[in-house]
Amino acid sequence: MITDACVYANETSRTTLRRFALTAASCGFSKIVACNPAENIAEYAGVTILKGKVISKQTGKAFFDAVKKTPADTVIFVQVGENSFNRTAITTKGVHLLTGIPDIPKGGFDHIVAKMAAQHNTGVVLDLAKILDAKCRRTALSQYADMLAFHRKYHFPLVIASGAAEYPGQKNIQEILALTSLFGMTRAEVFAALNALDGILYPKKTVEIVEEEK
Amino acid sequence: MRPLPPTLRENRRYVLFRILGGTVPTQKEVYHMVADSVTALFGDAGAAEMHPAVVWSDGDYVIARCTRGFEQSLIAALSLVTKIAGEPAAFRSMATSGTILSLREKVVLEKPDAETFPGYLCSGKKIDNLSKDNAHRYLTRDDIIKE
Repeated sequence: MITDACVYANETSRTTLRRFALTAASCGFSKIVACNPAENIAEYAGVTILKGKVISKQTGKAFFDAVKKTPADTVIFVQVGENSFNRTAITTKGVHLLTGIPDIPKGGFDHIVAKMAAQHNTGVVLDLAKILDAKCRRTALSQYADMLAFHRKYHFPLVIASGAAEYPGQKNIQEILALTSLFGMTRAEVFAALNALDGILYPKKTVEIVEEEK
Repeated sequence: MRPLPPTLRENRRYVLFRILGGTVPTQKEVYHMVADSVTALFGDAGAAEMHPAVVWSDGDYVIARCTRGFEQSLIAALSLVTKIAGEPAAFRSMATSGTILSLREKVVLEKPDAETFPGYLCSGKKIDNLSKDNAHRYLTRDDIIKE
């Protein structure tokens, strides 16, 4: 399912969650993740709405508590930080995605973290809102290009999010293709990234029951 | 300088955009926004290669022109517009074509309805609130019924 991995339909947003879903449907999405949503809606206009929670960089115990306290049906995003924190976040059970790549400190994401992310099936979010922001556009484009190079080598999941706080911030597929081409992402990679969230939330098991015996 | 003969002219492509956010700028304002956005992203050399121009606008629909092969760059540049007159807004790319006529056929001008719910501007399922704290609110019909 084509998914917009992060919209901020919280209390400060002037766009309601239903409007986000309606716009997502018109942009060609079938699923959105609403971070810290003000309302509790499961589906609207044919778009499935998942709840998400962003956990910011915290010290050891507070971070584990925040992950544990999050309900099971919530997509957990962790704001990236120092290298050691990122390794802890990736290996923590229940963490689905790493976000805030443009704000990553130097050496925060290296080949070892990339390898660990691939092993633990933890995704990395490419937030398009950071490209729209003129202040951090250059950093975002350069960090995303680096992340793409790591992804091509280590094959950890990449996920694309609009990061929209208002409905005009949501982008359609053509716009996503155009924006991601700025840092060298191909069409196939974009579609793989748009569909990657299902693989993170429901990973393939080693043994699966294909057909039940009656 | 005399214009180039038709056989030497570069081919052009046209992209239909829709302006979201409730603000309707004039064609001149749109032209300046396109020029600024393209220059900010690709620089003067990139803009000279792309030849962006606004060829038609009506209401919240705009047709922009560029050199063939630069459509994606034009869409990327216009995706970066986030505000018009201080209000959140965006250029949503609708279609790309080689002629203006075929794009104009795709334009569906909607007349917003301000009478169904007084104080609200309705357009299909979408509703914009006009008078909450002097700022826009973006809702749906179901949100209004719930309220």
